[in-house]
Order: sequence, then C-alpha cells, then structure tokens
Amino acid sequence: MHDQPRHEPLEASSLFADGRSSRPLIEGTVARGQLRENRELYTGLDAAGQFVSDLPAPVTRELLERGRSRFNAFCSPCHGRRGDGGGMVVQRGFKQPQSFHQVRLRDTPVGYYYDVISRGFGEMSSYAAQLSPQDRWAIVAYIRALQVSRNVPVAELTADERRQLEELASKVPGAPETVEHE
Amino acid sequence: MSQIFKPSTNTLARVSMFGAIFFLAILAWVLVTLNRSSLATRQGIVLQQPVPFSHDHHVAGLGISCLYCHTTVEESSFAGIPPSATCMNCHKLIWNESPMLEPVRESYRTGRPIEWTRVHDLPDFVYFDHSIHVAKGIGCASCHGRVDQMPLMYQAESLQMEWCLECHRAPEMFIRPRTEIYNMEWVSTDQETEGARLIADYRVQSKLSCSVCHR
Amino acid sequence: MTKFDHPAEVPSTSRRSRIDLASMREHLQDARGPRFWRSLDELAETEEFQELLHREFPEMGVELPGGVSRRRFVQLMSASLALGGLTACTRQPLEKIVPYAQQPESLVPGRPLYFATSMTLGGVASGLLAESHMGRPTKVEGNPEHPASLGATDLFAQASVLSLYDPDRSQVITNLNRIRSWSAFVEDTRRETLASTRLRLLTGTVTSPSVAAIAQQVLSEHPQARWHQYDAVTRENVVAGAEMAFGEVVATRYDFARADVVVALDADFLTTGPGAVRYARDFMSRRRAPVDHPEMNRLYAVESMPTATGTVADHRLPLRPSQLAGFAAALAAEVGLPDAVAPAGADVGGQGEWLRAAARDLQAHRGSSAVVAGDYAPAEVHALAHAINGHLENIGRTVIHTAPLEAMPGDQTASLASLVDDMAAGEVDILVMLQCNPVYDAPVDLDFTTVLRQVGRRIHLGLYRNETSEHCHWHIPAAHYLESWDDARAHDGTISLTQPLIEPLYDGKTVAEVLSVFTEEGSRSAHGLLRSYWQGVLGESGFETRWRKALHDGFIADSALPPTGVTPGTEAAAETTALIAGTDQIPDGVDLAFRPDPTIYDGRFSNNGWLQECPKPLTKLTWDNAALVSPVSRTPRWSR
Repeated sequence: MHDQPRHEPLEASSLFADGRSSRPLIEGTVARGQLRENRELYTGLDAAGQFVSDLPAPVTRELLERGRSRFNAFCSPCHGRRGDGGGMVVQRGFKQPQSFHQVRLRDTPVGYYYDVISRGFGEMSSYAAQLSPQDRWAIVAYIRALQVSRNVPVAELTADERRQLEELASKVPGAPETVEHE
Repeated sequence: MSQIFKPSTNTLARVSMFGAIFFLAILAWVLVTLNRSSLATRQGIVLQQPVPFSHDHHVAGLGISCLYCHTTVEESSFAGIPPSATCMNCHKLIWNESPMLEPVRESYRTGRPIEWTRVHDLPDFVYFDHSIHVAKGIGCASCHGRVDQMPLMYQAESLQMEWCLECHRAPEMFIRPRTEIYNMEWVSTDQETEGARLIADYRVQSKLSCSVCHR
Repeated sequence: MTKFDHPAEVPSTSRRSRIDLASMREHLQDARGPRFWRSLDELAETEEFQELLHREFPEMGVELPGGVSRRRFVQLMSASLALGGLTACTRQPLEKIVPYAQQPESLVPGRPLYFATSMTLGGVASGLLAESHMGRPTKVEGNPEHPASLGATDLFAQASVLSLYDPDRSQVITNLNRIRSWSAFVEDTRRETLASTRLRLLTGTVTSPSVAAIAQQVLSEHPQARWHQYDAVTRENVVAGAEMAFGEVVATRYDFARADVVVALDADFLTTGPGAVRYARDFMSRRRAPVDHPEMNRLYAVESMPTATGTVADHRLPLRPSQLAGFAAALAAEVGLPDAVAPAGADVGGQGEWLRAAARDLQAHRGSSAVVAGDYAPAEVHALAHAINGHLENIGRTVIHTAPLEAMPGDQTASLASLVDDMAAGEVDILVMLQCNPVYDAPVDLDFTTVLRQVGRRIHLGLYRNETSEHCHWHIPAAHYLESWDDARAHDGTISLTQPLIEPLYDGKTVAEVLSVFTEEGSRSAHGLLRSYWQGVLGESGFETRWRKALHDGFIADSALPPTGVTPGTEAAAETTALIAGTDQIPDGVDLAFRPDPTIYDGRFSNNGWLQECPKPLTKLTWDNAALVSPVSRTPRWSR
C-alpha cells in the first residue's frame, strides 16, 4: 500500500539492468522546449563563433538578485562570496581559482563566463546539469556586478557613499583596500 | 439468582467487566503509541547508507547551500538527489583517495548508481511537492530539521499526516521569509505577527482538503 | 447474436425459455402506438417477466454451482477485502533511491519532458507528443502542430505505451531457439548473403523514405533480390481504384472543412484509416455551425456494417457489400456523369429515393461536396467516386490528389502470391520478414506456412515471438516505436519523424537496422541511417538547425505532398458503370465482409489489455470478436 507500482523520481527499479528507474535521455533527441534556437542565449557565442559581450537578457534588479542567490549557492564554495577565489572548498585543498577582480577577467566578454559555467574549465566541472541557461546568465550578470563593486573610482561615488566608505576604512584596519588602488 | 451465582460472583463480574474495558483501552493506547513511535515512523533513526555522507560537515562546516546538490527543489515536486558527478565537482581533488568515497568514484567512472536508502519517504499515495512549499516560505529546516547538525542523515519529524496538518492548519506559525529558506539557523523573533504578514504577502492558501495530497 | 447452450440439468432453463426476446417480440408484433405500450405493461405483469427481471443476467444464465449464492459470495469477498485492508498496518518498507551518475542537462527530476514523435499503422504516420517521466515514456497524446493530428490521437496511439512495457514482448535474438547476439546474427547473415543470393524482403506497407532508400540499396546490390509488401489490412483497392480512374497511382486526401455535403460509400472515414483523426476534426468543425459557416455540413452514409461514421450521418443507408458497386454506378448516373448507366434493379428496398436525394444535394454543391469511397470498397467504387468528384468539380477543393504515400504502391495480395510462387519453386534462398506476421495473416489459399518451410534461411523481425517466428531460423526482437529512430509519411504526405524516448528495453532493432545488414556497408544504427539519409536529402548547409527543428516539431515543415493536376477519365468511368450494370444487382447467398477489428486491428494488438478492454463501437464487445449478422438474416428466409 505504501509502495504503489509506479516509480517516483530516481526510485530503484528491477526492470532495468542498472537498477535505476530513471533512464538517460537518448542522444540526438530534441524534447519540446529544448530546441535552443537562440545561439547567443544557449552557447554564449555569436554568429561568428566569438563570445558575446552583451548579456542576451536585460539586466534588471531581479536578474541580479537571482544571480546573487545562485552565485552564493553554486560558485561561492570555491570562488568565495566576493569572487576573489578564496571559498571554503579552496581552503580545504581545492585548486584556487582566479580572482574575478583581475583586469584580464574584467575585460573578458560575458560569453566566456557563460561558456565556462556550461562546459567547465581546468579543474572546474561543467555546471550545466545544476544550472539552467537562464540562471547561468544571471550568475554572469552578478559576477559583472561584483567586478564593478571593486572598481568604481571614488569620484563617481555619491557623497553619502564616500562618507560610508571612509567610516568603514577608519573602523577596520585590515579591511579590503580602498578602491583607489585598482 | 443467588441460587445459581455465589455472592462473590458479583465482584468477579465487576472486575472482569472493568478489566475488559481497561484491557481494550490499554490495547488501543499501545497500538496508537506504536503507530506514532519511531518504530513505525523511523523518526530519528539513522539508516545504513553506502557512503557515510555528513550533512553536518558539508552544510555547517563548509557552508555549502542546500541548493548546490538539491538543485530542483525550487522548480519540481522532487528536490533532487545529486548525481555522482556533483560529488566529483570537489572530490576529484579533495579526499580523492579516501576509501570512504570509493563508491562515489566507482559510480562516476562506470556509470553504475549509488544505491542510497531513502530517508524521507512519504507513502506513494501522498503527492508532496517541494517547489510550492519553498515558494511560499517554508524553510528546509521546518520539515527536515537541523540537517546541519546531522553527521548522518535521519528523519527529524514523524512525517505523519497529523504532523503535516499541524502546519497546514496554522501556517503562520512556521512560515519564514523567502530569503531564509535555506538558512538552517533562522529563528523568528516574532513569529506570530511576522508570520501573519508573510501569509498575506505570499498569498498563502494553506489547503486542507484531502485531494490536495491524496489524488 | 450468439446464443449460449446451458446444461439441461440447470433447473431454471426450461422456465426461462418461456420468455425471451423472441417471444416478447412476438407478443408485440402487431402492436402499434398506444397499444404497443399497453402490451408492454401487460407483459411486465406476467410472472415470467417478473422472474426475468430478477435474474441478473437473463441471457447468460445460471447461478454459481455448488450452492453458493451470489449474496454469500459477495459477503465472503467483502470480508476478505476488508481483511486485506489490514496490510496497511505494516511498516512502510525501505525504499532505495538511485541517482544518475551524470544527470542529463535538460532533465528536471519530477517534471515531465515532451517529445514529438510518430507512430505508424498500416505504414501511415500519426503525429504524437509523448510524455516522458525520468526518461520513461508514460503517456501519448496528439502533436498539436502535426497536420494529421492537431493534438488528437486514435486509440491505437493511446494504448501503444502499454505495448512498450509488455513483458510478453520478444526479448532476445534467437537462432533455432538458442539465444544469440546481434553480432552473431550480423556475422552469420553477411557470410551467407552473396550478391547473387535470391533474397526476398517481406514488409508491411512502407511509406518511410529512409527505409525505402535502404531497401532499394539492398535490391540494387543484390540483382536477384525482390521486395514484397503485405498488410492483412491492405489498401490495395484504393490504389487499384486510383489506377482505374487516373491511369496512374495517386493518393487521395479530403478537406472536410470545406465540404458541405459528403457521401460516404462504405467509408468509415471518421474513425478508421489514414488521416481519420484529422478528418474527424475537420468534419466536426462544420457540425458546430460557426458564424462564418451558417450552414452545417450534411453526411450521407451508405454502409454495409454499422460504423461510427454511420451513427453521425444525417442519412444512413444500410446496403449489402455486393450492392455497393451498383449503388455507386447509379449515383454516378444520377449526378449526370456523361454516359453513365444506372444498373437496372439497383433500386432495392426504396433506396432509389435516398439516392436521388443525395445526388440532388451533391449537384447543388458542386465544388463543395465530396464522395468518399471506403478503404475496403471495390476498386470500381473508388474509380466511380473519383469520376463523380471530378464531374462535380470537387477535385482540388475538397478532394486532393497527390503522389502516392507508399514507397511501393500496388496489389499487395498479388505481390504476396508471387512470393509464395517463388518460394514453392525453390527460388528463394533467404526470406527476411520484417515487422509482419504472414503465417498468421496471409490468405489461407496461399498456404504460406507450407511453402515457407522450403526457404533455406528464414529471418523474422517482430515485437513478439509469433506464429511466423516459430517457423524461422532467426528471430530478432523489434524496437517499439517509442524506442526507434524512424520516419514515415502522414496521410497528407508530411514526413513525420520518430525519435526514441528510451533505449530499447530488449535491444530491439528497427526495420532499417536489419536491412542495413544486407548492404555493402554492413550493420548501422537506426539513428545514423535516418540522419544520413535526410542529410543527403536536405543538404549539408544548415542541416543541423533544420534537423533539430524537425525533431522538435515531429515533422519536416512543408513536406506534405503537393496536389497533382490529375483528372479522372469520364469514358473509363462510363465503361465501369456499364460493366456494373451488366451484373446481377441482387445476388443470392450471403455477403461476407472482413474488417479490421476496431481495437485489435489485424490482431497485432491482441496482447494489449487496454485495447482488449476498450468496448468496440456500437457492439460494446470487449475481449472478444464476433461475426455480426443482421437480425433479419438470422431468421431463415422461409420463416420470415
């Protein structure tokens, strides 16, 4: 009675040789909603095969919020919440990733980030099975926001923000170095 | 009557009548208690698993979000059990020679599955949907307990219907802000007023009709 | 209706015989109007009728033997059921959960995926949308974009998912009843097959361009090879009729959305045959009388057997199959087909008035009417229907002719007969029977089974181990369509693709895969064969995008066959009417008509419980098959 003859997701099954009731999808098939005609959205590449430099979705507050929550859940274990590559897993011995705040990565087009999330890079595995393409772009947008957060000339800050910054710097001696150096 | 029954019979009859009622009551009480005990519900019992996975270490120790492995909790009825590939994201470099993790590496190499024993198993006649609960502000810890304090996974609550109804009858006592869903440590300072506000904000319609869960 | 014999010792039998349907009918025979109802009341008060009422199954009969009353039986059963409820008092068993090693990217556990695919019946495809839960197909519905479906399906498609999981499906490759591997089959077959081998292929009707291409390749590499097609539910009359009318093979499809008046000549076009799902949708769209079509359509149905189409007809005329040709000729003459001759004596039982009304209606709706001949109607009826449609200027409007759907249209029975001749003459070295069961469904006169034994090497591909596989050296389990890569044409010629939802459960093979063993390149995968064929047809540039789009949609866009500008010859039609007029219109004896079963089809679905359980239209028969006889014919002629 508790176990009905139907399979819940990932339930074991004696019908299939490997004991799984969940089957792999057949290579080459295209499910509804999986056509992925928008090349830029799904590959991060433009028609010429170059990484796109603009996000294929409008950057909104929701997108950035979404990106933050996904980044903190999926990326921060290695990249750290600030994106400088000092996450907990790295502290336990994983290879340290590059900081997002270096000039080279600041200038890299967004399509590159999307591509790395989708297909992995170096020791980083592909996150395609864990993150939908839309979430991957949200993360890319958030990485861009993180980069901007450390790279704003003091002159562009409002008076209020500048006051906050100075207050912070005076309170914490070892705080992140002030933006002027970058 | 006294020709047939001795006077002492009366006492005997009273005692046996009372005894029968008492006995039935005890029996009923024993059955009900048994049914609610962890013998029937497996509440608080650690089950044997192929890999001694510690939520305590991964959640509390490393601060990895629930979402990292249970990726579909926001979009599907089923929260998802991570494929071996997800474990290998980190364990290809960390603890990559630990004999405890050999089943994971073997599964990743060969594609053969790891056979976990299901800890939270609702009967098949209950159709539970994670996504709607998460979307309406029910945190992981509300049902699964302090997973971050479980070196080995066990079922924190009874998962019996009376337990479900406890919340379905008064969701304002359990609801939390959506931003705190995955926060294991979150406690409200003022659940009653805050809860009522969230119920209104999230438009929670806590359903009590049978067919919501029993289709 | 069949009457059941009951053992004589059953006590109630003799009493029961005093009142049954026949005696009731006798009782009511002369009653009309109020007297009829009064007689019913009188009847109801008789003791026999009261008893009949209280017996639950008056036709079937007897209470359970051994003195157990029905009531007692129900008591015992409900008690055991109630006790069965105690199983709920057990502890919930532990459940295993087995995640993927690598989870597919597009799969969200707990949420279904939908795949466009298609299923063939009689070679013709219907477009489907199959639901998949965790990579397991669970439900099949129509593909809303597919022209042959528009979101609807027939019962065969609905039930097909049960056949997929049928545990009785053939599960292993066998050679002389020993389990062998696919590679052993390939090796053995290729060793034995030379260019000069007299190879014979026998398939069902094939409309698949890719299967046809690979079959042609086999034929061209083996000059002595022949390809035969045979379906027990054959549409060869349709092909022959088109040849009579046009001098060439053309396919016919209808646009019922544009037809104001439809005359069906023994055609159950709403429920059976290619395109029935689409036809029903189109036809019914004109029954709702929308704003821009103030007039409802009108359907005249002539039929030899009660069908669903007949039940929705405005005017229905029952006719013996042998009278159908005469009726068609008379109709042709009545609508004014030049030189058409109405057979004398066609006006049996007052059908002349019916015919004249239908003809008048047809003439009043030139260009917006359609005469539809049924798949099993004689070729002459098809030819006359074409001629009438041509005469009424319906062609190109409600009736559309295209190139044939079939890869090899023709007389399938004759084709099978020539195969049998070759086999009997010992001129066949290897016979490959693909997804067919001729030992079961070939005409008895051909004595297929006997001559089959004279073939040196017999190979069978099928979903089940069946009568034919019993007589074969090699048997290969076939892949179900939900496990296959394939293609086929829909009723309008649209190329419909079949993509698999699950890996073959029992390592089944497709027709194309088995055929590829006989080609020079050797065994190839169904996916590779299909893809490379369409790559050749569609061209290299932008193929990947087009191919993915086609798989996503379930069909190749705009691949319906274009209308061909054929016109039926009127002289030939006039000759046909003359020929029909020369025959006896009221033949003696009994007409015997064979029809595919509404749920079991030609028998291939007999192991599908859903289809067996599905009541057949009008008769409501389940799990059974019956010879339908008119109540009038049941009574001997002398006693009428």
